[in-house]
Amino acid sequence: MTKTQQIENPYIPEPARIVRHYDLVKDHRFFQVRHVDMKRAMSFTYNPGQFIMLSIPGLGEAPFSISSTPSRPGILEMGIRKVGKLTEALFKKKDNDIIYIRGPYGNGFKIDQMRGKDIIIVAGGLGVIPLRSILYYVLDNRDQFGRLFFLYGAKNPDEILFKTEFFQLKNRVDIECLYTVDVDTSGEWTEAVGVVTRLFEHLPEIDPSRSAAVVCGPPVMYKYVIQELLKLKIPKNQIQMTLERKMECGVGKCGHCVLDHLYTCIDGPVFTYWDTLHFRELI
Amino acid sequence: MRILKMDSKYLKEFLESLRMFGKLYGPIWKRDVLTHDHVENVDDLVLDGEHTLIPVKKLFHPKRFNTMRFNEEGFTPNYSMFEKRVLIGAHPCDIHSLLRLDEVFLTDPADPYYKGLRENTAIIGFSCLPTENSLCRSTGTDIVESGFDLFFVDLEDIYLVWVGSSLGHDMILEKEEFFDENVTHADIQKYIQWREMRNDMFKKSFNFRDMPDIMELSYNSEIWDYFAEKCLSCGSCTMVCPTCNCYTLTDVFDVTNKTEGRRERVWDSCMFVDYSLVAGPHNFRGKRADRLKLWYTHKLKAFGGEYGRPACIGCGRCVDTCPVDINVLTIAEAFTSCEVPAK
Amino acid sequence: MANEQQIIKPKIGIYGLTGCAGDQLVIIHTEDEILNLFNSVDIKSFVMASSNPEEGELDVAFVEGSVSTEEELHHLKDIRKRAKILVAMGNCALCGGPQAMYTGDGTFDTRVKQVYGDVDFLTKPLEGAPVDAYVEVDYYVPGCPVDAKQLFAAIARLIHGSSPEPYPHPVCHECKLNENKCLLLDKKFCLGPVTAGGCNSACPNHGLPCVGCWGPNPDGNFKEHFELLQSFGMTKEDIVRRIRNFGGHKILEYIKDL
Repeated sequence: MTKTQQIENPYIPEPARIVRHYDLVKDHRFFQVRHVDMKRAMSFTYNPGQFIMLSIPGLGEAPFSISSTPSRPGILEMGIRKVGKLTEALFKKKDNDIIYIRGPYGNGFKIDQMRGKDIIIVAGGLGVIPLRSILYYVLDNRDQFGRLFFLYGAKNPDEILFKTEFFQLKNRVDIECLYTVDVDTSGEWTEAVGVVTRLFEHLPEIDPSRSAAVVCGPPVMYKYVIQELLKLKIPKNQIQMTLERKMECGVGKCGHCVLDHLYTCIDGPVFTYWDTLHFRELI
Repeated sequence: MRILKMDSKYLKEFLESLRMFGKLYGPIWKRDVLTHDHVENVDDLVLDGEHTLIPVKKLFHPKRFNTMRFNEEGFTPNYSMFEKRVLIGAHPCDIHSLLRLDEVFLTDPADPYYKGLRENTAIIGFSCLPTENSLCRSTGTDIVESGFDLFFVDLEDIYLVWVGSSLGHDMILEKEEFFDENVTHADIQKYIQWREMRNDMFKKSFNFRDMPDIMELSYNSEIWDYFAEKCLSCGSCTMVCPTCNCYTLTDVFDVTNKTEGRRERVWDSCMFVDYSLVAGPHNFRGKRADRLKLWYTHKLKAFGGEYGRPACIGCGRCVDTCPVDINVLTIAEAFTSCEVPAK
Repeated sequence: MANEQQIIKPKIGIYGLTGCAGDQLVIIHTEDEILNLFNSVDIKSFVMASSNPEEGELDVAFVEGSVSTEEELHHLKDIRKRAKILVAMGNCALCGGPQAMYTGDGTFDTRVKQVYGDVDFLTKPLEGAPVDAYVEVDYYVPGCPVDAKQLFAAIARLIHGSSPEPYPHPVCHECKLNENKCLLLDKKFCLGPVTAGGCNSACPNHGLPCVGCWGPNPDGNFKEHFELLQSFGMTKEDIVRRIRNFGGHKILEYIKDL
């Protein structure tokens, strides 16, 4: 009989500890986790744009994008919305509790192609969670990139995630932050009001061939944001977007995240706009 | 490749001798249904052209099983399904389907369950004659050149036996006296005649080669809506398709207050409504037409990887099975002729 | 980690309204799990197992049967008031059961009179209706009777403070996993594609067509399935009559435009 300990099994989740958590906004929580095995925690690395599979025994497993940057190793960060059984159970967990993770999975952003270029990050709603990874990666390796523009829109001020962090970024001179809300319900919003595409009006002149854009947001947002990026004449293969799909394995076996003949979990979740022209189901 | 000759009268004894290499599996009748199962008596084996209802994938990608157990300490994988096996009676299309599934399940990181079952199973292929709905000549999967340990071609009084692996060779050596190295001109003639006879027996065919382009061109065709209105979303096509690999996982707690239970894996189908449903909820394929389109994209256009091939291996099971006649034949015909089938 | 003393077992009540009590029997008869159940929950009321019920606050109430009298309606409302979570169990509680097969045709009073004549009822009879016609239901475990595996998986989730896993697939899914030949190919009157799965294809496993006792499959293609059955020689009236046997209240919205 086969010796079980010799079998490599990519599906076995590894225990990780919740180091810290706090609420971002209602039903959206920020988690910092670390592998229980410290050696593993310190050697664990990933690319911005990758995701992990998170398990709670008995409730199942689902993909979550990584919100931290590999330039700050040792801790893995996620922003998670409470939407189902698994996340409900996760929201009941306290600091120091054990959850299970495996990964990282997916391709991540094509950082090598972004180096030396101006970076335009466009986030809508929850889409800011995976983009926070590339945002901080660029900031931590600031000399490797050109100018950095960070465009972020949410429905209303109460749904702006990472508000404190992102407003602190406005004090930096090496990043231009443009924030907007669809509707200002608070009366205290000091930034723009309107859909995220309106923020493009505030962008300075850019050299399109020396620019790279990354986009993430709700499915309806892509079309409009991409129109704006195309108006700026940014090449189609320099526009990257990260997509959400149902995933059960993360490693290209279960089939659910299929798009045409590709799998979001291994061929994505980052695709270029050029890809989407070939695989029509993408957006 | 080594090709030997065996007198047909030795078949039963030879197959019986394979028990020393593992537990015998093959197509047998159970409750009027032909199924791949454990073979108690080699006389029960059905080695003519007939297809099992559920394809051979079930022996390597089990229909329903526990992948792991979990408790407070974490997850422990379950490998209890691994045993040495000899699969007898795999048809060329069956073997092609396994080679296609290998591309999914053995690509790094390999699926450990499929890999374990595959590595522990010897494949003894058998030639077959086409059934009513066989399409393997159209898909180029009517013959097979690799993917077996031994392959038997039935020429009535003799078998020509292709030796495909070192293990297959070991099997031959155990009963060396049954096999003859001397394949004569007459034997070759007989084989050629058999091939011609078999080629002439195919009743149905379709334009498989042009389907990738036709599918691409028909992406927005209203013909999809015609089929979507008919489709019962029963998922049978996917269950009986030898190259459908999708599965779903469910955690099941034991009836206890402790954190204990199992992670169960079951075949899934892209025809089911929750196939592309994410929490939120958002359904990326709520429409039946989108689900059908996905399946036929995989079967007739491209499947897996940047330069994937279509996955259809022409077994005809979807033609046998769909209660409302949606299958690779009717789809290919409709999109090639741009006409929907007459009611 | 919690030690033994800290475990608070959920307080459970298991109740039957109008029905055959078959679902409660499934609980009693599942010998592999019944002791596990008694060990992991605190059963306050289950008349089939103990004649000393304690009718107080409950974490989870399982209700079998349809509401068929005023008295049952009061009982149900009382259960709902006391239970944090209410689970409708079995076809009668989910759809109304066979006693609800004529739902909506306006003949209830005539039928009562025909069967019982002019009698004084101890409690006013109501036309058989599913539990959620009167109170909010948190989870559903379908079946006639329920499937032990599906029921205990649901119970185990509830014990762990979570919710049961939905199974939005037709009967055909498990039917094919069980390697049954499709009965529709033999022109049999099978309701598998339009019926919710979870029964492990109990009837087709024995060569018998599905009668729809798990209730409608919301994704079912009723229009095409009716056409297919009509092509076998059934009239539409026959099909409707048979699908309403177990479809009760819940089938109406799926067949109203056919």
